[in-house]
Order: sequence, then structure tokens, then C-alpha cells
Amino acid sequence: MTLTDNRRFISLIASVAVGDFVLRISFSNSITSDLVGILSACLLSVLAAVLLKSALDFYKKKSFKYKPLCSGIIMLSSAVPLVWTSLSSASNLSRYAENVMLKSGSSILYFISILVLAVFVAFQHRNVTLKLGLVLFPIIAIFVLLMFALSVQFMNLKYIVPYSALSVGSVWKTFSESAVCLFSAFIPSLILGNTAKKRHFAIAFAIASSIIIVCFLNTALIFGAELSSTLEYPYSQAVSTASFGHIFSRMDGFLYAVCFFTSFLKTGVCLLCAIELVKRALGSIFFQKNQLSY
Amino acid sequence: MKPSFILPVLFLFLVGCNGMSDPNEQFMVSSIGFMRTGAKVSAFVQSVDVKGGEQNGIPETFVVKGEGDSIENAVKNTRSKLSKKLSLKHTELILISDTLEKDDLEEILSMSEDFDVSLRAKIASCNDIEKLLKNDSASSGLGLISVIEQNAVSAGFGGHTALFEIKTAFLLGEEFAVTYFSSGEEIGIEGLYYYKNGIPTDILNFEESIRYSKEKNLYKGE
Repeated sequence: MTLTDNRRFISLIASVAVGDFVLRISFSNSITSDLVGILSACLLSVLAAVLLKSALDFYKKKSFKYKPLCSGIIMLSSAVPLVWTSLSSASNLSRYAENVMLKSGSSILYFISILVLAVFVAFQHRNVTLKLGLVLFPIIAIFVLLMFALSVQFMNLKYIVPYSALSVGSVWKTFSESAVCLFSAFIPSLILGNTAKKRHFAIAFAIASSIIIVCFLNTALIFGAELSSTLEYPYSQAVSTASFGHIFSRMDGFLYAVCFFTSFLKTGVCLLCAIELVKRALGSIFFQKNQLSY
Repeated sequence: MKPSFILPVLFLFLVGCNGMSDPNEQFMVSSIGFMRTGAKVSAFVQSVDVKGGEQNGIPETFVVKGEGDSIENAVKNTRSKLSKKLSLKHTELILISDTLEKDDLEEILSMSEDFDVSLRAKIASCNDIEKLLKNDSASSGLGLISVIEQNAVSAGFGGHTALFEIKTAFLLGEEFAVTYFSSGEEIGIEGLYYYKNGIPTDILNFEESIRYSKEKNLYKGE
């Protein structure tokens, strides 16, 4: 894998791992619990990604052989959560578009439009999607950091310090929400990163975790727990406080770009991987070829 | 252009053009104020002429009044008086009168969801809102914002200014204090208006305001 291929892989997987987190992020009444939940999910995702890659490298070395039917079933089973993730991401984005971005339209129209675009991307060669990731991810990262920097004037450390008592329920809720987002990038990373090294997996998930933590802190430090827990899209509202002088009084355009790019990439990549798995599964089942190879 | 590109591009155009409106067709509100007189709530919306009508280099501002039995109805009645579409997305300042009730304040605080007002919008208090908005000739709304910001540095005190700060204080049942404008011919700040349990309690003079700001760590100047 060349340096450019590595960069494409890392960018794309980081984008997919961030996914629609910025739309789904929710808060409980304890910022400390939420922070612990998110940090745990981030750490676990990096470790799990490395372990999964190690396990697959071991599988490749040992050349395990499955019966074609068995490998077909495994691949079809792997495709189902990918399709679900893809539809869920598209649905979240279309609902956000209906509620916030384009209020006069219908979420069904947005959902269909996003899905059509994602299917178009999914039927291209995987290199097209990898290149798309390399183009879009730096934009996503820059926008997230820019919005954080422009919101600093409204931030208050009192919402994080002193630490409040941990609530197990809140920790678990935030952990599971963040984990679902991050872990949904595992299967695509294994399919698209068959020649990538373990460190590339770790870097991709570490970068995604950093973006997620920045988004969380951006909201938590501005609004605190009580207000954040009442808002439907807390990160969106937090970013709407950012301004640059009197000319750029609302920077929502950057936010919409971040939401669209991350959710769209997640939708497209999950569909692409699902299609690839289904093709291989059909090859295994109907043509008796063992296609279970990474 | 390849045929496979046409379909997605078509979809993009279809989605984005729905409900589009020109800025000239919108009444962009820069400041909005509310006061209650008995059972009636009055809403005052202030906007600047985007076509650039100016007098002596200062943009022309418009103040429109609407009345209703609640905050929401007052805003809706203001809308009905305008030939343009009312847009609160760029509202920078919300003025509240001390005649408002606690329920009115709660309704104003939910404006971010109902009317898409930014949570960053500043809140200030004034006795005669209509007079203040009409006297505010310096770039409509932004003149009052500048006064609040400059005051935060020069006068030595600052209050809870942003909508989200007041919302948080309301949710926690905490006290808060907003900048209080004088209702004279010249725009100026008299001090802070102190609210307890969402009810306007006391006007703090300069010395009291400075003390309050230091106590609550609200002073953002040097």
C-alpha cells in the first residue's frame, strides 16, 4: 500500500467512524458521565480495531478454509448491519435536513436523494470512494476545529470542572451511542483496508475519536449538561453560537457541510461494502467459490 | 457529460431549490423587543433596509409593532403586518421589558426552537423598547450590541448576555442579570437588571453591578 493509499484509507475510515455522531450526540445531566462514556468508547474502538486487524492477519496466515456456503452466509450476515447502518445514517441526515437545514421540504425527498447519490457512489470502484474520503476528510477536520476555535469565547470551564458524580446509566448510554457510531466503521475498514497495517487502523480510529471528543467538548463547554440535554441537536446549536465578526454572524454553512459529508460518506461506504459482500456471498453460494478472503 | 452524472446532479438541484427566497423578500430582524401592558403583549421588530437606503451614511432602520395575548401571537401578528417574510435567523438582540411575566420570559427563551433565533443572540432589558429601537440609528441592533460589548470593557461590569446563558440559568433556577438600557434620548447603560426565579427584582446601579459582576465572574473586560 502506497503512502497515498494509506492516507486515503485513514481519511475515509475516520470519516465513516465519525459518521452521523454530530447529529446523534446527546447529553445526560452529568457531563462527567458523558465524557467518561465517550472516552471509553473511543479508547475501546482504537484497541478493538487493532485487535480485529491482528485477528484477520492471523486468519490470512493460517489460511482457514470454510465451505463456500458457510462463507457465503457469513458475508451475507455481515452485509445486513452495513445496510442498516447506511439507511440509518441517511435517515438521520434527512431528518436533520427537514428540521434544520431545509425546513420547507420533506424528509422523504431528502432521504431518497441522499440514497440515490450513495448508491451511485457505491457502484463506483472502491478507489473512487477512497479518493472522495481523502478530499472530504480534511475539510471536515478543518471545519470542526475552526468552529471550535470560533466558539471558544462562549466556553466556560465550570461545566466540566469540578467533576460531578458518575452515573452508571449515563455512562452506559453515552458509551453505547458513541460505540455504535465508531464500531460501525469496523467492517468497512476490514474490507477496504486488506493491505493496510495495524497502525493505520489505529490512526484512523484515533483521529475519528479526536473529532468526536472535540465536538462533544464544543457543546459541553458552551451549554453545560442541563441545557444540552434539552436540545434536539446540541452540537448544531453550539456551533450556531460561533461567529466571525459582524459579517459572518452565523457559521451554520460549515456545520451543514460537516454533517452532510460525514453522514453521506458513511451511507455510501457502508453501501459499497455491503454490495461487495453480497457479490462475494453470491459467488460463494452459487458458484461454490470460497470468497471469504480479506 | 456522462449520463450517469445527470441523475444525481438533477436530484441535487431539485432538493436545494425548494422554498428558496431572495434576501430582499425577507424582513431580516436584527433586534426584537417584548413588553406587556396588562393582558396585551407587544412585539417590536427592527430591521435594516438591505437595499441600502441611507441617511447621512447611516442605514435606514424600520421598527414594526405587533400585539397579541402571548409572545408567539405578538410575533405572528407582526408577521401579518409585513409584506415580506419575517426572518429571525439573524437576530442579534432580544430586548425584554420588566413588565413581562415569568411565562413570557419562558416563551422568549424557547424562541431558539420556535423561531430559529440563534442561542447566541444577546438579551438586554429596557423600559421603553419602542423608543430605544427607533433611536438606535447606528447600523440597527449592531449599535446596541456595540454598546453592550464596549460597556463590558469600559464600565467594568457585564451581565448574562447570551440567550443560552439565560436559558441555562432558568433551567437551573438560578438568578441572572442582564444589561439595562436607559430610555432617554441618548443610548446608554444604566446598570444590570437582576432577575430572581425569572422575575425582575432589582435594578443594580454601576457600583452594585461591578460588585455583582466580580462576584459571578461575569466581567469579560481587562
